[in-house]
Amino acid sequence: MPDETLPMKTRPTPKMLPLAALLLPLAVMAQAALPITIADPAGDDDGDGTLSLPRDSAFAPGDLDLRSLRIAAEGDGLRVEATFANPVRHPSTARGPGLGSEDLGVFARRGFYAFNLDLYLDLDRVPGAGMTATLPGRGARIDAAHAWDKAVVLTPRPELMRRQLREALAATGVIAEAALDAELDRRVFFATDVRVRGRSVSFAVPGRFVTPTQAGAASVVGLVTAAKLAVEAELGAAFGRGAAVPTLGALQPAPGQPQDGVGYRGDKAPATAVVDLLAPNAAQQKAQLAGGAALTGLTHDNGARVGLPPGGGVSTPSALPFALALDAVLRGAPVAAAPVPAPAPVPAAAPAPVASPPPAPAMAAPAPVPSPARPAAASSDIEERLATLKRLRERNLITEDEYQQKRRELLDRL
Amino acid sequence: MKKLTLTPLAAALGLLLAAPSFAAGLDFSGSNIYMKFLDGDQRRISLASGDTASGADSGQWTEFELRIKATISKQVEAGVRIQSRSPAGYWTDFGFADETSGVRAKWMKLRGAYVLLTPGYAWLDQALIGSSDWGMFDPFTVGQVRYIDRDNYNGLYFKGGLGFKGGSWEFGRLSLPNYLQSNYGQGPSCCTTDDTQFQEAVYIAQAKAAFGPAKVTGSYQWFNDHQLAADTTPNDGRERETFAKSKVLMLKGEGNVADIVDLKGAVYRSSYKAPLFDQPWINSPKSDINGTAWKIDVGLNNLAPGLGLNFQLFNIGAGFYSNTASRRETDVLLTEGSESAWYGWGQSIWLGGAAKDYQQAPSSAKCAVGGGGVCRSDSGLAAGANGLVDNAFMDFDEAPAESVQGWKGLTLQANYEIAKVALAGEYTRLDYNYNGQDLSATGPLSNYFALNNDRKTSIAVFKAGYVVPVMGGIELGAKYKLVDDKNKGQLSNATDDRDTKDTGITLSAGNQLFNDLYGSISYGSYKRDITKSGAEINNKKNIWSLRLAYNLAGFETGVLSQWVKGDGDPDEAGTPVDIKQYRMKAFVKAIF
Repeated sequence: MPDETLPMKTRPTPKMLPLAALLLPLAVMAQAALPITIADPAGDDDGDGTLSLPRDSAFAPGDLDLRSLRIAAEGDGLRVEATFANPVRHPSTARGPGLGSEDLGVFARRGFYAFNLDLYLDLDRVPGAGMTATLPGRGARIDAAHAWDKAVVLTPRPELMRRQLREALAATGVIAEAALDAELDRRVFFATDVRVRGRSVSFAVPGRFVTPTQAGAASVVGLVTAAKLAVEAELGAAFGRGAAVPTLGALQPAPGQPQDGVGYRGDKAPATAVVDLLAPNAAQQKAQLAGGAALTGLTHDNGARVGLPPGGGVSTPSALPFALALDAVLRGAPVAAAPVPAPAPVPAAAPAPVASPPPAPAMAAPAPVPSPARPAAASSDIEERLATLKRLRERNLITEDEYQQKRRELLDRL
Repeated sequence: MKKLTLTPLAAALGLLLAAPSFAAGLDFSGSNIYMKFLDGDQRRISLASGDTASGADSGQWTEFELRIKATISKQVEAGVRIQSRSPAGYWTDFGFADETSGVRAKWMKLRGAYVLLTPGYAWLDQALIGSSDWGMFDPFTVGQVRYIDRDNYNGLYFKGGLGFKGGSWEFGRLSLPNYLQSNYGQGPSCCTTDDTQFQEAVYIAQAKAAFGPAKVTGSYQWFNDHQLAADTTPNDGRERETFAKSKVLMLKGEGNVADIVDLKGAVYRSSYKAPLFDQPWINSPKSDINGTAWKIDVGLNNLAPGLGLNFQLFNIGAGFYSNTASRRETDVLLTEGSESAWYGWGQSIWLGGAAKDYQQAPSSAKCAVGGGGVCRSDSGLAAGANGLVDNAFMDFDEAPAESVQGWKGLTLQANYEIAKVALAGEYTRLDYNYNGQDLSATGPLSNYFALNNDRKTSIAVFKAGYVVPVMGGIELGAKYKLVDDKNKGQLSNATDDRDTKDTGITLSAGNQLFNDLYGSISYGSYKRDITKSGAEINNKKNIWSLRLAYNLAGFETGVLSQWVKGDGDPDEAGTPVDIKQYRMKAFVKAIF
């Protein structure tokens, strides 16, 4: 696994990045009317060019090859349709790796089993506001200019994956237990209303999570990972395979061509577990999935697939508590002695006007951390949290304003 | 004097030490414990396996599987799979009852082992030595091995590039288990043991190429089945002779003609020669025969908003034969087959007397003659490409398989969504290439098929699904299925006419009761109306089912309880009976 906590500036810059930058857009309109459709090239289901699918015949070339993503309004929410190169295979046609006669359909009940699809939405379009780390198990990093506010996850076992993420976040202690569910549901949506037809799988996203207006203004990062056929206990730490960071059902790259895992060619492990990235061409996908690179968001404008310039988005609550917790999860270690209260939610239906959008507001300021009853924290705790804050700022997980505000709060507690 | 400098060497050593080193790894992930608990009011314990399809409904069963994968280097991976053996009814034996029985004593058995090389050459990407499920070829040539036998077939497999994008070659050599060989237990000098299964294997070479949006695959496989020949001078090596030869040629292609149109086509040609003996095992044709099979698929995606269509035309010769074709997998044809019209059979007499359905016996209309007029040809089964379908060791919630040998016809499937209601339908019309009159009793296909057949089958399916947006979503489902199978047998003899009409209606509701627990309840009403020699035999049954599924990371458990009630004359013995049955299967799987 790549080190997802490595500060961005210490990562090597791949030679392909200038090429990727050239492929990025010159200008697009800030808000598109739904539906929007973003196409993806054929035959690019090899991640950074080195990945290979498991040898298990439950996976076939093309099963994870994303060809297009369509986002349409459905009621006050969205219906997202992902189309793949191959017809989507039903879980009842495949069995997991263990004993027993039960097919995958017993637990993967949404009509597909082979892939996870993540969508990271930058709703406010404020550079640096939001999160740049992707969910556990993906290993990718999103460009700060497209820092995400909300993520939508399509996965064969959504309830289990939500539980896994919740438990991991809870273990960090960053977000108070009482506020955890609300904050998780505000940031990440696991799709359950799923329909499969031919090569397409579509799913509903409720308006309470993202409205059509928000989606129309958003920058979207879409990525596909190979899904685990069976979700094992993930006892990696027990077997000396590093920290037990959850993978949220994503198969992790391993050397060679494993039977039941994603393999890679060459001497160097790929930076991410992403098999297919929603990108206008294979060169950009390779460049952005290379070590040290970051993913840029896409939208649609008159058939051109481009990255969005800043501005024109819709305000969202501060991502700071979730960013802190996610960072701790990815580092595989609890950090906080004092949980951070979740920010007050901004009503989902707070759209920016379609035309002439106002200047993007700053991120909502998080509520103060310490309560009057709380005793002063030990200096070692403060030191640790300052270091965490610094790291988050270096990785553009939080804005400069947020960094300074939280820093002052911590110093005041000394 | 020139000074010797070590600078280049030091630099090289420095670089070597600075380079990231490869960490060999040992991985046990995927190892698992599986337990099954059966309960039912038939009070029958399966003594030899966890097989519940044949009627066993009581017992407790534990198996353990240990998977070890060693990543020896970046180029070398090796793995083994060790599994305990255990029957359904011996949990209470504590493994002491019969230490000499590998089954009862829960001996561990090596189920598979392999070494995989990935040298990274352009021309050789992968070399596998050992066991595999052999799912890398085609169901009509070398098909994937059923899960219960997974990894039991050993062999060699090589794969590499052809020097252009999308081009690859593959070569496989499968060492055959004896039951896939023509001379298994047969022949004047042959055997009931493995003595003459020497160096016998199926060889297959396959190549793939991409031409723009089109992908083309071709393969050629061959198998020579030998036996020992009479030899008066064995000390200079033992002579052998060819018992049977089998060859299969395949060419298939697929591509997207437009965004909404997918096209696939495949053609297969087989050749079988059995020069020495005319009564091989039931798996093989009785004598020389050539056969052809082909199929064409057209998929129309999003033809209109919410509408998708799939169409398949197929013609599989009665004489098409590949001894390693898929014996179980359901992706052979588009149709869902006869499965679920009558399947979920309940008490063993509801099998319709088709005991052969649950053996490793060929699918055949032959049982219409030899089986007293009740045969698998009228039962509800899914499709496998090999005559030697594998329905042994099944649970009652599994769909059995039927062979598609000799099938020809078409399937049309449609999916449509309107007002959030998902609709799906299928119509399949089957004719049979083994239809004919007064076929030779010693002909090449007399191993498989009755000598007189005039059979046609229609399958119609309609399904609807809707999620009621309350309680986190209540998933409603409805299914109607009709299978009408007519066989006039010998046209000059009306007494062997048989018309079997299966109809089934299933209604279900499911809900994610808690974050980890899913529950569903279903009701099915099924009828099997048989017209046999002009006489009517009517059977009906209903099944209430309750299913629970609980899932945590590394832990899966599920329960399926069914209450079956019906009446009719399933034995076709002229004596109607009333039947009630309760059965339950629960399983627990821990994966670590």
